[in-house]
Amino acid sequence: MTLTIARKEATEMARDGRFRWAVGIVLVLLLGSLVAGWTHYASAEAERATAQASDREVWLGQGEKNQHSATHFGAYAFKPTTPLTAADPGVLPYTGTSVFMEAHSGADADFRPAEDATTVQRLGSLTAASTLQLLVPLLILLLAFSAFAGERDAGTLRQLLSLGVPRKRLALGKALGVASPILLLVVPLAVVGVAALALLDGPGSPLATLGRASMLVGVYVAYFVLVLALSLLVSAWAGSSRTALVTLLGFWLVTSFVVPRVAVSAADALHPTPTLTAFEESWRAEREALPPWPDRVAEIEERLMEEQGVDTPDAITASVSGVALYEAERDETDLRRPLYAALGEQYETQTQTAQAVSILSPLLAVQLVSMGLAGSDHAHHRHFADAAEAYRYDYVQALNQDMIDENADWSFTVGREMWEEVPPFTYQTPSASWAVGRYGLSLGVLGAWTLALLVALPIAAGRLRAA
Amino acid sequence: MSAPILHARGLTKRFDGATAVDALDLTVNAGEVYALLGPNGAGKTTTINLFLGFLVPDAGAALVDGLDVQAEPLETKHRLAYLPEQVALYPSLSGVENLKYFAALAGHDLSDADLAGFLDQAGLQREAHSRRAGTYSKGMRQKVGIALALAKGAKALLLDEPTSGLDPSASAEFSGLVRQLANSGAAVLMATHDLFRVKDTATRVGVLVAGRLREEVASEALPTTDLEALYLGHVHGAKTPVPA
Amino acid sequence: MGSSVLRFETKRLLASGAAGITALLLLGLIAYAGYVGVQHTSEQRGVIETYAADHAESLDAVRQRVAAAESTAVANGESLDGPVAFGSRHPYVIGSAQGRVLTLEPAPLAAFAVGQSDLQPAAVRVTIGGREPMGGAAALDHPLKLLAGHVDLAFVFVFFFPLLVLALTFGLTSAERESGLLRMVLSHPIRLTTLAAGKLTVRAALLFGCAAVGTGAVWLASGAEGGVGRWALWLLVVVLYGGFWLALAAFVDSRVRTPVTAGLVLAACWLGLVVVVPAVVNVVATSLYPVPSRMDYVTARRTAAGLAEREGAASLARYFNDHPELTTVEEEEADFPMLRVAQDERIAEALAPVEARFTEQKAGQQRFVRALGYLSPAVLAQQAFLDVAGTGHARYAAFDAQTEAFHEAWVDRFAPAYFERQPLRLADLDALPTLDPQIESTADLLSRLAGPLAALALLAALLGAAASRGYGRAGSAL
Repeated sequence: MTLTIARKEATEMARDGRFRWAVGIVLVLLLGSLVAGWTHYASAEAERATAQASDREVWLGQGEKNQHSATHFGAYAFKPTTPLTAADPGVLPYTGTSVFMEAHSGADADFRPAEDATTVQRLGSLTAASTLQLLVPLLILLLAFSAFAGERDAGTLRQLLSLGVPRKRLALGKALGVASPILLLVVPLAVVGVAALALLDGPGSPLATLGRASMLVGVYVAYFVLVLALSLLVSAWAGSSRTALVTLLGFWLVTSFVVPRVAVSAADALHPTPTLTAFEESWRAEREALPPWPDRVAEIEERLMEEQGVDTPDAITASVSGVALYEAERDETDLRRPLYAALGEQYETQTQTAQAVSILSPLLAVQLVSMGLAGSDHAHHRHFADAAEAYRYDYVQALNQDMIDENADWSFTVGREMWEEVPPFTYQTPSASWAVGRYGLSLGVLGAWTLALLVALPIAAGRLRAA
Repeated sequence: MSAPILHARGLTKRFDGATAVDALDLTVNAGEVYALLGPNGAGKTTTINLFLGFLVPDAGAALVDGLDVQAEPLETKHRLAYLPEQVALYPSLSGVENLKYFAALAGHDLSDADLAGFLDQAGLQREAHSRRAGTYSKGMRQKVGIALALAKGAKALLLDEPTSGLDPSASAEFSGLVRQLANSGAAVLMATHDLFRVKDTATRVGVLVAGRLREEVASEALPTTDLEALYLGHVHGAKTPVPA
Repeated sequence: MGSSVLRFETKRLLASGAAGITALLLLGLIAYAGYVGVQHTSEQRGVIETYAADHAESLDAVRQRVAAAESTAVANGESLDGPVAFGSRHPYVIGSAQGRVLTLEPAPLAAFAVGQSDLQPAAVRVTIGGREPMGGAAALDHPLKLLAGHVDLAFVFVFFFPLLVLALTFGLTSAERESGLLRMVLSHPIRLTTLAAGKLTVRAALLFGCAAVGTGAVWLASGAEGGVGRWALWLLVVVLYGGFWLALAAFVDSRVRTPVTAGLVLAACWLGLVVVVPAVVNVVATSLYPVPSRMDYVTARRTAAGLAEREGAASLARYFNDHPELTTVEEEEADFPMLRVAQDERIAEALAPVEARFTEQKAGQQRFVRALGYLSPAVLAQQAFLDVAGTGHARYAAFDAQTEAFHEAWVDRFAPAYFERQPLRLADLDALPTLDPQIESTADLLSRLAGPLAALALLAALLGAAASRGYGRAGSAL
């Protein structure tokens, strides 16, 4: 009987010209956004690989120079992205793409793509993620809002119930009826998408991406089920289909456009990040705790004279400059890293706050998890920036150490052999579980919403009245 | 005799090939109550819509007080009052407020005392004057419609099934009001299939079937005519028209 | 008759509660957005003041060092105008080390739209070596916030205002048709067009009145230094954009039978024009005119820098070749500032084609978006709002051009001094090149926005005319 109802629902929909148009438009937008996203990802990734390789060439070919000069010549780390960012670019446009790794500096990445974009970008961009997050749920609720309320308006609900159709079966049939065309739309796309990912050789192991992709599909399907259940619930509760429609459209509008903005504003208001000037000021203040360069050199000279039992600085048989540079880098880094870590924690707290607010909008939870799984959230950016900073410190100190080992002064130079000893920068995207781990709160919110709806729906269906 | 107030001259209206009103010739003079009898779909409402200018005739013309409705849409409406089957009023406004607005649309800026006077005349109880129209019964709304015709000083009244759904006493009261309006010089065209009301309200009756006026019964012949037999004869004979 | 409709509809709208809710919602949104904007602008001003203060402080420090060096020189019996070696009295301390910080003051109406001010620099430090952007108040904001965007007045008007317009007008006459009232009303000597126009006027007055009062209050709260003209221009954009939506609502109302259909059609129009079309325009623009990756830019700069460094002597020779007005200095006599200038010019030369490609693609993208913006009134309105607030593309492009010209003037001022070993005198510090941060006049702004505004007006007029035709059609009363 459930299947009979489902079949009738699906037939009605398939015969509705407006439905065919709406599905067609959404499908075209989804495919278009995927193609555009993939093209963009593929070219950006190719450019990145070329840039990283040529930066290595520049490094190796920098010629003879002092080790410490080389740490100022520096090297670049270019941020790789996962293929999933083709579907959900997340905050990528608003985070830097490259880090200049140099001695005495631990700056964040530069060149946010959004700086080079037009102002239309701020009205929102068409991505597979935005289509799945905004348009598909809209389609679902437009299909489902009249499921019960419409039959009540038309008087057919009275007829159905008088035939002795159990209310819960009716609800299940309606749900399947609305879900099947949506699933017919989404599932093939998901399968093709995931299969394409499996065949492609992205950075990191393809299997890792596959895991992320499967979870991504799971999250979206779960959200669609949630929207469907909510629509049916409202349809069962509402007195008329007009009320059901207005309620659901209001929910869609508020969760899509109001809550996300309010959530991040609230997060920023509750846990504000410093302004750039304030942050630089606090770094200046920290740095004042360090001895000025001449004092540091004098202290080291004294220490070395004592160690080596000599009386004059000239008699020291070690690279005072090397030791001074090594220790300065260490001390500065020890002070700088906590500052950046605190800033990073502040970002993480803001993300967590936004996740907490997502109890008001399960869509926000989906958006956050989606970015996390696609690797286009701020946490992944920070993971990359941290990796660059770790590399920076290691290679700078390796060169400073070499000055010490070679007992070098400022006029001492090394060449290609030394540059080759510095390993190239490589970056490993963190695991899927790492990515998901940050979004426990969002997943909890999604679970809670789904659970609440799945409990409420049979109750509402059981209380369904004909008029 | 003076010129008719309402005059249909070869009035014809077709919808998608089907002829709703077919070369209708009809006149209603001042002081007359003309009942247009006919089954559903006979073209009664279409005729009224043509007089209101809501529809454009395919041939012929509807004249109000000698003016062509199509040529003078606003001028003819000054002379008309219209009461549909369901007199619709703004539910959040009172009867007085509704009346005031509609009268203002007709260009009459009336004092509250005048408005109350018209409502009194139409028989709306005083306590209902300032009540929201959303709470009115059908009969009360009809009374506001009559008051509107009075306020407008309309030369002609177009009534579309005015008594259907009214209980017998409300219906009788309404008929009395219509007679009163006619007596004071208005021409009344009333589309109806309420044979009982026609008998005691109308001064003249026309039987409309499939857009054509089959028969007119003049006022002097009315008391002696069996309207029911006449009506049924025309309705059933419509399939095989009686040769003229 | 029209005036009766106006009076009556005003009374009815006020009595229905819809007016109150709409006004409250709109004023509430404006108040919140105004707060967001004023807050952001004051933070931005704070950051700019810090930059200016830091710059003044460093200039003072330079002044003191120069003064000290001058007294030492006088004590040593040196001439203050003679050739100077690299040190405290060398122009390098200003020309390359300190430079000049040029700040971009928020425009009078900046609080109305955060626009690009959360992405673009608030100031630029210009040295001979180039221009270094300095981040604004939002430089360290969570990228999620940048992605989500601010709830500022531009957002409220581009996004919510149409929804309020549509909520108030979607059943303009079809609601009365459904309840049978329309037949009653039209049996009186009044045209449907007049009736609809009266209803629209009342609603427009309410919406635009709230917009004027609300934005006026925000303008006063933001300090209201000048900018009356810009505020008027903002309202003009609101009226034209709102006018488009009013006309669209009337058009749809004139063609459909029931308010539910009208509501669905208008909701679809809103979704299409405000959400989908801008997103599609954005994707098409970035796909057709992809801005070259900044990674390429970085690589090109690195390669050029490496080359210039390796060929130090050749760079210098080339520099003198390009600047015949300068007296040639031999490589062994050349000091660090001279080599630096010569290298910087080499790097700039090598980067010129890369930068040209960037500029070209970005300009192409901008032109394309301007052209395609005509597909959606929301895009036109957004760009106009940002331009009026002075936080859009035009303002930042103008600032970029200004600082670029300033950089050239700066190089012309200091590079010859390096080669002629002219000392930096105290008086020079008071006569540094300055930048007059000109804010576009309202008239210029208006003429620049003429195209989009005319398009909005034309669209509204066409829809209005079509609506009027629809209302005038035979049978429209039924």
